[in-house]
Amino acid sequence: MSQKKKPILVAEGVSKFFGRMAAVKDLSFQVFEEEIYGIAGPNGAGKTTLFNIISHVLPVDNGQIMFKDKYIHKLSLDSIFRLGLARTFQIPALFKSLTVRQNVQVGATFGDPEKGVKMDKRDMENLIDETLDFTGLSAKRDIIAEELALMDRKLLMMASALVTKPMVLMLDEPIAGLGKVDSDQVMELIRNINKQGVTVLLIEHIMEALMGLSERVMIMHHGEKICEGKPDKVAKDESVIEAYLGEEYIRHKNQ
Amino acid sequence: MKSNKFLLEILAIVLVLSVIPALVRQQYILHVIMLAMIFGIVASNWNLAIGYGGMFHLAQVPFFAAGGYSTAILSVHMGLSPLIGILVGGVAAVILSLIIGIPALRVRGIYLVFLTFAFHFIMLSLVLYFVDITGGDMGLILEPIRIGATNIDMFNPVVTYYTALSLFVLSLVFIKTIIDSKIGLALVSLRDSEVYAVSRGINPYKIKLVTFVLSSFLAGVCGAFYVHYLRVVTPALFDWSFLITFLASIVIGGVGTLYGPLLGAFILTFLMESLRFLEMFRNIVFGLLMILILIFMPKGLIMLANRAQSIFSSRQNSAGIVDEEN
Ligand SMILES: Nc1ncnc2c1ncn2[C@@H]1O[C@H](COP(=O)(O)OP(=O)(O)O)[C@@H](O)[C@H]1O
Ligand SMILES: [Mg+2]
Repeated sequence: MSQKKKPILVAEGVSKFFGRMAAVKDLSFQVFEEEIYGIAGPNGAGKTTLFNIISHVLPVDNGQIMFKDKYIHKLSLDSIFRLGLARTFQIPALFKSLTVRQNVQVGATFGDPEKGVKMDKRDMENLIDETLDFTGLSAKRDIIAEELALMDRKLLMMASALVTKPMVLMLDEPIAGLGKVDSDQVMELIRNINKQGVTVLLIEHIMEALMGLSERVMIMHHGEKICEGKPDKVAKDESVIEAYLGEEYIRHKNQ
Repeated sequence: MKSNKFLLEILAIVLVLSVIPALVRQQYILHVIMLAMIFGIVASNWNLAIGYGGMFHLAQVPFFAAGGYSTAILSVHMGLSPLIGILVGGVAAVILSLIIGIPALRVRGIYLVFLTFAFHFIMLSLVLYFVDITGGDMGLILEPIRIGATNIDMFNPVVTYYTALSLFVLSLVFIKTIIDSKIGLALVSLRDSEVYAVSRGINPYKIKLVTFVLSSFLAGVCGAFYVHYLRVVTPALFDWSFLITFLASIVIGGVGTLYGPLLGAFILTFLMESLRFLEMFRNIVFGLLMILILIFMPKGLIMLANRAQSIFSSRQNSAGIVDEEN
């Protein structure tokens, strides 16, 4: 799929400090067009912080971030989104007093799906409906978002991003906390999103999901990249096993 | 469907409020209803920022006062007519809202409260300082306007009442239009979760500033109207009782609802008039009322109306979903 190997998102030596602690430390990596790039690492490794500085929820302290040949680390969260770099949050966020459909409408209205071309009302409504269908939320469109269960909250957060036809979608633990059936459904959805040509950055704690979905994986530890490569290679890497995967994963695998 | 419902509601309100002068002969009652309408407008515009946008600020009384003082100054010193003066009051409030909003809306939460609070006193000090223009402590008295050779009082009670009613309806349509627009969607999103809203492309500063400015206009108009109605402007326009009345109207009627602050303003204005004998203790009664509502009915008294309506409509169709919007 990533034959062309054209980088779409590039981080060069990025760091983020909280006080004296480096949550992300001199980190560089490239994500190629249309791949699924997995990110893993123990709790507190700095994965979410990395998403926060790429999307500019937090300002980056050092380094540069490039998206589609354009430096974005000085742009604001909202303008980065409008460029086509969308994200979800580890703790599901939602507009609780709006309906499911309105939640998606927010993305469609402010996210610039046609990249500069103003959409007419009908086209936008169709786009919203398609997105609700695609994420399996159509039946719940008129429910107030506050009433949704975890699975639907996660789906809705993805839908409000997808409706803007992003080029890159960053997912922060989209599967964590879900049961088997729901996990499978979300994994299938992530594959479908990727099939439509969307590049995916995927943080996930559940290793089978991450390894199963990703073409390449980066392992983080104490804010640094300790390993990067194809999933099966990474899984065998000594430092990774030591730092993170540990016995638990090996035990899991041998079951 | 939805806009039809709104149209019917507006028609009902107009019908009721416009026949009142024919049925009620006491000038005093009309006076109170008119005050309720004016206070309701100021409160419900404030509610756009506080209730829908979740941005608490204390600039609404300065907006109101800016409208009142600007129109009074221009009519006393330059003979401006009341109708244009009312518009000028709105424009003055808009200018003030830009002056306050451009710096103040960059800060959030409690700082916005402090900054707007400070502005209240800066304005009051300016009014007291420029005695030649504002009349200082004594204020200004507005003469009835002369048009041509005759001495027509443009603000006779009937004209005044229907002017207030027109503003009332205008305000309702104005607010409903904003709520249903992109701005309304953005406001509620920002209130529900600011980071998430911004991560979905909303520019928070722009939306907040636009709302702040929009919600100042009718507050200024009402300040101007109020001053023309009383024919006098004094620093009492900055009085705490206004702040309490507007805020209590929102809380008692229903925060973040279309009709709540209007209902609240009617209840409060009538209470205010009928509890005059309590004097100072009146504010205690209002305070207690606010606390009780906040504890037992955080969505305000308008919820009672909604509940009644949903019970009624669930008899016709079984979809008894409470309409959160009103
Ligand atoms: N806003 C913040 N302020 C201070 N410390 C933070 C903040 N966000 C994260 N951290 C710290 O940074 C480190 C990395 O956190 P995080 O990026 O959430 O890790 P991960 O997502 O990999 O579990 C942790 O030690 C965490 O406590
Ligand atoms: Mg995390």
